[in-house]
Amino acid sequence: MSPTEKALRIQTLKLRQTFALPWFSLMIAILMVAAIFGVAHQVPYDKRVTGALTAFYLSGIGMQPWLINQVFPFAMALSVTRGAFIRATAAIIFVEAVVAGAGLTVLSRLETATHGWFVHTRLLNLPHVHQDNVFSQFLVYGVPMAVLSTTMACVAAVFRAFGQIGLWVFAVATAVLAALTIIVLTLTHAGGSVVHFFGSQPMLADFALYPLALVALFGTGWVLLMKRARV
Amino acid sequence: MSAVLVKDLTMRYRGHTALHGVGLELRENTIHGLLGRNGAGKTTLMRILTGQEFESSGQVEVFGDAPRENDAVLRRVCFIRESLKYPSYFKLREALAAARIACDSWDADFAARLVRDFDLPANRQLKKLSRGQLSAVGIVIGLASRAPLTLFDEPYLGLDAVARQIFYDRLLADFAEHPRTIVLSTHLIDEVADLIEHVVLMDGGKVLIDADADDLRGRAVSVSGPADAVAAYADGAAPLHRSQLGGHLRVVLTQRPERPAAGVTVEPLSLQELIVMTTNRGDRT
Repeated sequence: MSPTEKALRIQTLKLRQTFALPWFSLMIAILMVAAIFGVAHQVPYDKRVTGALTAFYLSGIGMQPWLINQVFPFAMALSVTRGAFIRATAAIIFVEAVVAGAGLTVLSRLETATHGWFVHTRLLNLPHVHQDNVFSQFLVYGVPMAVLSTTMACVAAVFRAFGQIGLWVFAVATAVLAALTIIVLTLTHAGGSVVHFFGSQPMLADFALYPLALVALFGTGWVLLMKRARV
Repeated sequence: MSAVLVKDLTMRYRGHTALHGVGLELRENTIHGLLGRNGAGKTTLMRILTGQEFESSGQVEVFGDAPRENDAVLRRVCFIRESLKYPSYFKLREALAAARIACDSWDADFAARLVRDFDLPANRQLKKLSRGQLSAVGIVIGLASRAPLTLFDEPYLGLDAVARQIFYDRLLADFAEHPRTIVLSTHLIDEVADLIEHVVLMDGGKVLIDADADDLRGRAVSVSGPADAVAAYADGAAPLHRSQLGGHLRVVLTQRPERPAAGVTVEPLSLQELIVMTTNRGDRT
């Protein structure tokens, strides 16, 4: 068994924690929404839009911190190398994004076919994420999952390397950077152009192309921190 | 062949030097005792040997190669720490499954026997186990891994005397059948004195003693009796410890003088006494 395979098998010993949690959340959301709109007939069809998709993505954000701060030290005690652990986690992030993309695409088509889970609601096939092309739809659902996972992996690695103070500094630095960006855009009157630029782009680019830059940024940060991580 | 070879190893943290030019060699298929006070540098040394920490300078070889990010080396190593944290939501069976995946020499039957010996609940989440039970989990993993280099760093925090004895018994019995290199770091020196074959004593980030346990047991002596007689017998030897009450003197010597002992009582020093006195030289009177 290769080192990466070993690390991957250790990381997936608790599949509920690694893969299933967002799907449980989505399943519960579908059942709840179907139950609510099954009896709340007075709500117009066009208002039956929910945050189930957000719940799906947010349900998965605890996985990377769990892997990096709890499974990683244990795996290192069993002499798994950092490199193997990183490769295994990257594989999980990739597979998780692919499964999210494929699964949500199938479910969104099912949602359409069942007229909104038989109660005319829109959980997945939301107006701002809908794509006619199946592959585009797959990317629009899958890439945000990869962005969230790499972001959380990077945040968890910051905590692993620098502790709570480091995490606080990271959060403050991110906020300061965001504030500076807004100030610069405002002073240079470029804010409107930026908004116009992203607004004029195809939805596929906004959801699946530009977010890849975040995957590269946070993914690089995560790998660099993990390569030097001490246990 | 050496399982571990360390030359001039130094480890600096921010403004603090944990290891000062440490040099040592650990023979294969031997039980080594890594002894010393808290903060002596034992855990840091073991973390470096297992690739969990990066040395500042010096040479570290495990089975002839650098351990850092080296799977060929690390797959032969298992490191059980007193502070080892298990993933929350893991049950014992999942922790053992992870160890089975990671350790090439894992013995599942032996692990099952040890789980029974320590009376561990297989289906309870590890975070709900007591401190002593968690230590027993570490011991089960460390022993059943049969890793060619197994390091135990204070593995029995919270374990009662009976469980500790089970650990010693199983360790010795399994070592006899499956010889391997074991490094046991502990403060319970008396308990492991008969177990360890080689002693490395560390203090202040340096190695003070690196010797076979049998040599140490016979070498250091306590000499007591009338002050004049003791002084005459110990003449020329630097005492490790000296205490006087009235005309009665007791000195501890690292080497038994070759002259005849006349009018004094000479007793071999226990390993624990030797370690305590060697690391407590600031109190020498």
